Amino acid sequence: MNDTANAIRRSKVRFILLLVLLVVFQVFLAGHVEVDMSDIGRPPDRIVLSSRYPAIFSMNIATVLSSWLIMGVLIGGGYFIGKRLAEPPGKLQVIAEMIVDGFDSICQQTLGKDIGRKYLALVLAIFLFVLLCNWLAVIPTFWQVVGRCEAPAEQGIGVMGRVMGFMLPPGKVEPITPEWLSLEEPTKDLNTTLGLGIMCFFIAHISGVRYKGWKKYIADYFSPMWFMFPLNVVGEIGKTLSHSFRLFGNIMGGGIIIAVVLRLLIKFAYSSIALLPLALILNVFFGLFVGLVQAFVFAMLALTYTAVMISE
Amino acid sequence: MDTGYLIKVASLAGAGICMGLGAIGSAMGVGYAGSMGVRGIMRQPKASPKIMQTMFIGMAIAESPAIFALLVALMILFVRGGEETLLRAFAIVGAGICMGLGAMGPGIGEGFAAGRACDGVSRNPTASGLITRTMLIGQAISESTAVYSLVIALLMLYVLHG
Repeated sequence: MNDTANAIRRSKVRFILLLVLLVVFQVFLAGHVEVDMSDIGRPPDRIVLSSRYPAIFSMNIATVLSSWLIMGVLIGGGYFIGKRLAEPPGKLQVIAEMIVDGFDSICQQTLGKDIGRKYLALVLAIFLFVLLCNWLAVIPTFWQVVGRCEAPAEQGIGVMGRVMGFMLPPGKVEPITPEWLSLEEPTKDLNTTLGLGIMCFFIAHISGVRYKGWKKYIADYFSPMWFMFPLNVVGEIGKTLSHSFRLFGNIMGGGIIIAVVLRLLIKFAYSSIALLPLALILNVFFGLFVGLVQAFVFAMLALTYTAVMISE
Repeated sequence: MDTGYLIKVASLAGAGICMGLGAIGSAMGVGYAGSMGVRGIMRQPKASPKIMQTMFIGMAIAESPAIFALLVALMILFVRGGEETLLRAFAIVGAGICMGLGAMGPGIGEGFAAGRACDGVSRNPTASGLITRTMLIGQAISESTAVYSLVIALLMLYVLHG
């Protein structure tokens, strides 16, 4: 009993000491900071591969690199968790099994027992890829903490970067790494989300043709009344557009909100100690929660569109 | 006054109208979904995980017209470029009005679908998969008008400079 009480008291003392140190640190840094907001919402850097058709043959470097990184993490993680399946399961295996079981039951409820298993891998892949993409900017990375303190709430930031970046002395500091190496969410780029949306569109329609046959597929565009044909066609295009734009808008909007709010507060609040909890709360809500919900909604909608085309 | 100043005035007005009007519909819709979720849990506390899941999914989708409005408002405020003519100023305000008013209807409609889906899951928890699927289809189609508004607003901002 006494040990626990002593331990609690010691941790409280440490906490208070840490707060005092933080405040003292802040006092030396407090002052008017110039913030520059003109680069919020800037389009990502591109490489242009062909000067005759720049719109078709160009690439956003940061998006592609971040996507490859996430793909590598997913493939590597899946391989290593699968190699060490054990009974009783370890922590990572428990989480993986929870996710797979959850989506298995959802797929079987939506598509039926035999077809559901066939589409399980696809839906899981979409969900996990979009989830990690949305969460990428919340992960702290080294160069974002120390390399970018002149524009603290910059895009491509982790919690530490967004939170602690403005505690460093103001002034111009050369970034350690080039800008395209900073980890931004790939889903902040319309190319990623539109590509995923078009992929889900093709999956749904090709599945519809495969399971219903060509004649019924085309006949369904004219149901329930023959003059509904243009409305059905426009409805399909609208579904895909809203599917992609919802994800894009949520993730890009979240990033911009965090950047704008933090920079405005830095401009007007001379000391930045009050920004610490605010930055954490903003990041947790807009980064983690919205990322999870939007990834889940994206995967569920992909599954539902496929189910609609198969079953109708 | 010079047209650069007019563009700034127009972008402030456009962004304000866009986000101000666009927030109305989604707020009402999401509130309705929340209230039906609470009522559903009151009726059937044992089904509360399923009701909560349906409620969250429905709310997330009912929030998306407001996200479209936020996107257009942020693009109006922060993206530079384009010629500075009087026509562009009007295009900016027009884009703001278009997305602002266009996001009102689908927000309320999708929230209504989400609310009724929570109610349905509370009355019949075993059919929750089918109910959620029908809710998603209904919401996806009723979002079409928001997508039309978004497309026209983006066209006015980026393509039709005059």
